[in-house]
Amino acid sequence: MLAELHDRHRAGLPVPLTQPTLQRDGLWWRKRGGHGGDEWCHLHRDQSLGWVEAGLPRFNNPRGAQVPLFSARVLVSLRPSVLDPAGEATRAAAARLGVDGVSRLRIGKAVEVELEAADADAARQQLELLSDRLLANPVIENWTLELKDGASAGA
Amino acid sequence: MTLGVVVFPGSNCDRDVRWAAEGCLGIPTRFLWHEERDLSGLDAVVIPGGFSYGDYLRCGAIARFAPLLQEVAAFAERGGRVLGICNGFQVLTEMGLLPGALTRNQKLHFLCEPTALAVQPGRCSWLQGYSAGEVVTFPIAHGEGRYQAEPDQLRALEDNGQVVLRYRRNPNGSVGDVAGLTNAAGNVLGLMPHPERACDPATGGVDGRRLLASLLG
Repeated sequence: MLAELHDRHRAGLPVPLTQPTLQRDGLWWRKRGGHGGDEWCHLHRDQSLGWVEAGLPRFNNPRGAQVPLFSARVLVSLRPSVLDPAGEATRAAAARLGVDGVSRLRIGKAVEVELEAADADAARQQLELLSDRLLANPVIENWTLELKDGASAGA
Repeated sequence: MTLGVVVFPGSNCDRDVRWAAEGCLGIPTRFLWHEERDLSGLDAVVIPGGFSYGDYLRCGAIARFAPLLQEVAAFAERGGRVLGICNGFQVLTEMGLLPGALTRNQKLHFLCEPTALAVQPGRCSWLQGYSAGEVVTFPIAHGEGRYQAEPDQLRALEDNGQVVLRYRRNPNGSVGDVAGLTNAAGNVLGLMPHPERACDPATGGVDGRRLLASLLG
């Protein structure tokens, strides 16, 4: 791989930007910048374009295709049957602050997600999988998905 | 007999397990980095305590997706012996190898103290060195060890003899005083207390030795 690059360089040909970082499992992969530099993208060889990132194009996209970007918020809450000692401690602090009459206080989390997908249905499907299998543990937590209407253009 | 010890970023009991197994009992031990996939030559795998991947999101939630754990799941499926201690127990529940979940201690404190446990070994291959009803002392060290399962699920686990370790004095609010669980086949054990910290007389007690020594039997 490096030898091929050197040959191009010596011959005065442009050295393409997208280059595989390593070969693993019979596929070529590129380590992508940003996000801590720990993302890998599988590459395939296109006759005219050279190395192209497979999967959804993002930055450094040789085709410049636009993929709709969806925004969502996933709310994760403890199931009613599960004790929330942190919520109880916070409720006790509310009384010390002087806010009386708080009869229930339970702590969950809100996860904000932006996701590239072909359309709203595909986005919803991916977000439901994400919520059910990763963001919440259905044994102890419930989740609700708020998918904002309309997509903005992603890169 | 070779024991594999999983090492995640954030594991902090991996070397304790190695000392207990190799240093105290002479069981050859190999560390398994979380990105590996090679379990060849191993007879058992320990998922140790600590804070895998910083315990971000939920304890054990990210660890579940480690390439190594996909192999560990297949290993357990084939009947391989898997032990999850503390964070390892949390990981096993997130993986679905054991039912239920571990949540914040009832009184919110991180608890670090010797704890008396009643053992009911049943089918659990890790506990065959203990007699039914025996009381042992293992240290606990956790902030999120309150076992949670729905009442009918807990009853099913009890009826099936899968609740193999119970707290004598419940420190964290676990339902059914659950300290440790085994799967239906008995090859997977998850427990919040640390048997590996009860193997060297220099650090107080050797009640945990028989758990790891079951690998030699």
